[in-house]
Amino acid sequence: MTGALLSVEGLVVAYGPMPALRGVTFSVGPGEVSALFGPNGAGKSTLLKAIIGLVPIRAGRIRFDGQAIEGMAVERRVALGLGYAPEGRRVFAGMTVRENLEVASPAARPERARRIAEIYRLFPALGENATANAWQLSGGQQQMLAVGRALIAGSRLLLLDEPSLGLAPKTSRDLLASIRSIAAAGTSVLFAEQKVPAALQVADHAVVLRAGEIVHAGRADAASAQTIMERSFLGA
Amino acid sequence: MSAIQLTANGLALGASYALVALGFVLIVNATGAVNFAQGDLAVAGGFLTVALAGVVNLPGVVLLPIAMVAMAGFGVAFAYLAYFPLRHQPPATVFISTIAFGIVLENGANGLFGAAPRLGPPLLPGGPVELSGLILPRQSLAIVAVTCVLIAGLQFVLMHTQFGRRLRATAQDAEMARAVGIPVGAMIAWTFALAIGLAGAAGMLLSNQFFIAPGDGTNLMLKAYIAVTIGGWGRIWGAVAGALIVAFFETILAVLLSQSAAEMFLYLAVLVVLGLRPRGLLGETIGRRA
Amino acid sequence: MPTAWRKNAARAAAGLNPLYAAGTVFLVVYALVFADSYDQRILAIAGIYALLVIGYQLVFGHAGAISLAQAAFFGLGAYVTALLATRLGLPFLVTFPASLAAAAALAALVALPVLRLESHYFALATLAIGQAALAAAVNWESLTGGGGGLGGVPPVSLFGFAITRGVWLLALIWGLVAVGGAVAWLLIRGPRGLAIRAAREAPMAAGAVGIDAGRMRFTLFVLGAAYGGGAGALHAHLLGVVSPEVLRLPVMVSCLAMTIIGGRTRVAGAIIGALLLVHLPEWFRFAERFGPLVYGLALLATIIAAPDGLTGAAARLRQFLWPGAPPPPPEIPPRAGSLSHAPASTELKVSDLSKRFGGVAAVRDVSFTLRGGEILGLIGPNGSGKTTILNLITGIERPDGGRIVLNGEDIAGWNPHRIARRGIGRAFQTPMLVESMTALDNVALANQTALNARAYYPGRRLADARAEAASFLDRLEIGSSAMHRRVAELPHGARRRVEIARALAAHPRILVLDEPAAGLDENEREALRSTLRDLAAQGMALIVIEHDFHFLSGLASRLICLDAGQVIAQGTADAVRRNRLVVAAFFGPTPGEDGAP
Repeated sequence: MTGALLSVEGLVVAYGPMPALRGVTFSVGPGEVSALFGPNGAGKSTLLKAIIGLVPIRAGRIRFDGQAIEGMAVERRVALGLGYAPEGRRVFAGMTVRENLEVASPAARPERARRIAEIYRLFPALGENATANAWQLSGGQQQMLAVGRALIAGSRLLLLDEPSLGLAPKTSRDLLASIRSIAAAGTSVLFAEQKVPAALQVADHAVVLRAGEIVHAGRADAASAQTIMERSFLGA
Repeated sequence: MSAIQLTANGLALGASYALVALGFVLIVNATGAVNFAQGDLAVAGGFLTVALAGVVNLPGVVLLPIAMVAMAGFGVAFAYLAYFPLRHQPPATVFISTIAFGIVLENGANGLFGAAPRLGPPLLPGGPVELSGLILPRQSLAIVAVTCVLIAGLQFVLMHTQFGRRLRATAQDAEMARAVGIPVGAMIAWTFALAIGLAGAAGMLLSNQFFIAPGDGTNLMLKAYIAVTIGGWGRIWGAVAGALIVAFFETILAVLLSQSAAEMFLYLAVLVVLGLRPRGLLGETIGRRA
Repeated sequence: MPTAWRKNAARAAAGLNPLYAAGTVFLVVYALVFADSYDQRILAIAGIYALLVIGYQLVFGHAGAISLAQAAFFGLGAYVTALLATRLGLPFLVTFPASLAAAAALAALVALPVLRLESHYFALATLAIGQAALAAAVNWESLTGGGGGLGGVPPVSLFGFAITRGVWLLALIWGLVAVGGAVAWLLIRGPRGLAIRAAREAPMAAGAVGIDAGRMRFTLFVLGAAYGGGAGALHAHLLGVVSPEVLRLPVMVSCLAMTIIGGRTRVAGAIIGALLLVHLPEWFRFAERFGPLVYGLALLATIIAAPDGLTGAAARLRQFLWPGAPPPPPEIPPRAGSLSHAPASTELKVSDLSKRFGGVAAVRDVSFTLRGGEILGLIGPNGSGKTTILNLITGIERPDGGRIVLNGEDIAGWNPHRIARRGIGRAFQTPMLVESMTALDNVALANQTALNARAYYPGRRLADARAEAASFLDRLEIGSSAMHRRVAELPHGARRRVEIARALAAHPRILVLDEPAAGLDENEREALRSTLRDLAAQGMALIVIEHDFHFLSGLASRLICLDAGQVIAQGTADAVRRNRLVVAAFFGPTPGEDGAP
């Protein structure tokens, strides 16, 4: 696919304690939101980690903006504009909200402050708790912080691993809705998710992984919800 | 010994222990490695100032930053020799490599300077200070003041600079720090620089107040280790508090009983503390992951 | 059986590294022919340190605990011998066992509070023991002679014959090294060796197959101390004086350095480390006061170049010089035997089980009954409490309330190894394996029969355990070449199967599996399903956590769906799958749509 921001071709992650990926090929276009579905152990987290560089790959290519990045160190991928929020948030618990955002920013001070203000506009709850320690935040606020931190580190493609995990229904809806605003500002998003109907409301594309392979890829709309749930959950 | 002198001695000793312990904590937080050479590195800093004072005639306060920078550079070399080659080995291996490095340092100092205790340059020239009728030992005051400045400086760097934030993020969750683009390897090397710079300062301060000998490193390290454990593993203010507790315990008991009795009771106290509170007197780091 | 003995002896000889054989011959010739009395004395000291280090290897190498108290046990042994010999005039045959016993007794006394401490706290506590002992020796002058120590310790005297020097002294000390080495070697060989390694490297997995890691640590710590006491006793006899020097940190550092340089787990390593480091200062005499510096540099260089010590390097060198064939694969018994001998009479009754973490109720009033031959599927979104339930059943977590009754016995709150021994096996969400071991040994270590049999030679018991392990692995489609590879090199799917084989090797009546299909491909899943079905057909009871409905339907006889720690639905796979609460729990509410799958 030409013009893709991220393109993954024949990605294989094979050895060690990670669930395997067996030749995964797909792409994410500029400004697009793609949702990644599939049961636990299908390889969703492994795929996101391989893209950001936290897991070594055995074969395949990962191109970002036309450039092969599969051999690059994580810092360089982040510098190119990839941001990553892991499963379980992993905010820097002993640092304040503002510090969590500052530490991820590669920019100099005035630009940094401007970007942080943007994050506060996106997630007002973070601005209100700017000086609170991250461990004092609620689960939903921590997730916002993890997303905000990823966005500050790399703002061209955001990789989110199960952002709604463990959140109350309302919070989880709000969080998924914020993905739309992030995309509207020009950032592409690839996110792994279990909550199919809610995720489909914000995604343009849906990719379903099962046992390390893509079993379905297509436009994300309400009509496809049934198919996706069956493919990911029931393996039909 | 008067109460004032006793207090001044305890404070000065505690201040030096605190600097060794702080470096120890910085390294533990950033790498999980217990640096057993921290005491010997402090002694190396002390001998460095002894050597410098023999070459140039400058007051201690001027030599101090020179020694700290040199020791910080040495700290980076230390990291590349004793830590980085073994960073994927079990923590015990790094522990042993730092012990080996400590032996090298101790015997290097012994070979170069001999085993006899040496006196380092004073921070400020001059006798005791008289303050509203009280005679205060000038060096002890200077040591406490310099330590306060260094701790405040460390606190400022860690809390209020981007560099410090990156160090802290690396210490809290190295993989996540990497994932937001922080060059974790460089941060760890800087941590060693900072930690061993502080150890160098401690060595210089001790060398004037208490003399310094090549074999002192082990004792310093043990005291710092105790301070850090009592203060709650990995906590900066805990380490400072622990260092003061150890120093006063030691100073007071040495006067009441004897130096070796004080040692014995200190270690017995450590055993009792660990028996009652397996994670130290002041507890383990809070909220590592909420 | 003399033939069996001969065969075993031949096998042991074949396993001997030719490099060590050559070294031994060289040393014996050197000691008898070339060494003068000073050299012989140095060799005697090296033997004493070898004993100290063999004991330390049990603690540091095998139990994996960085103890810094070994010098304290050494010193205690020395003082006990000196006191008993000089004050009471007791003979060696009394003082030597007394020194061993005193050190072991001190270790047993401190072990209870100290062994539960975690790594660095443990190191500090053991260091404190040593330093307190040192200060006591200096202070308690009436007993210990203070800084000056105790003089006039007589040489070892056996049957009226005083052994002061020369070949007889070497024979005594190195004879004791040989005995001590053989005891340690027998202790760590065979199935027990595998269990010790598992307890050190993967304690959770060890507990899950019934290995009591705590008891193992205790035994090794106490035994290691006894070696230290014995070495100290010999040291007192050899020098004739005991001073607080024997308790100072340099003794501990030497012991540690010898262990690292020689190797942490091999007896040969203790001997090589001791010989080398005792002689090193002699060789570097010419460097005068920089001699000890060279010593430190040698230590540092060894750690960086050969983190597993010289014996590890020697093993690699041997492999390079004589690249022998890989060990012959054990004979695999025919497939006829069944995977499980679990009686169908098993009954597990869980009632009102509850667990809170902080303020959060992870499991709330969960009740179910499971019988032999049944497969219970446990489903629910992430964080719904599935894994916590398994942790409560297998003893990794203690329940806050409720009962877990296995065949009439309430096992709630028991330690994991006890529960495992009652017949509950476990596979973890991320396979927990002993990464440095082969797949075969990962399975063999779970063989409790082989571990506990006292009857015959450990090498033979290990062979039996491996043969049985091979048959389990074979039936889980792990081929004989993969069996002999370290598990760290195996792909994810194979690792899962190794873990299931390990659980089966402990002969459980109930097997609990946490997402066994995660990360497997279609073929592997199908194979796993049929294995689980077979196990149930043979009378085993299974609990399977899974996210993949397809995997469970047609497999599980019953499903329980959890949400927020509570059971929200249970019944057949079909019924649960159609339940709206279940669909909503997994995928969230479906906006503007009534239809559920």
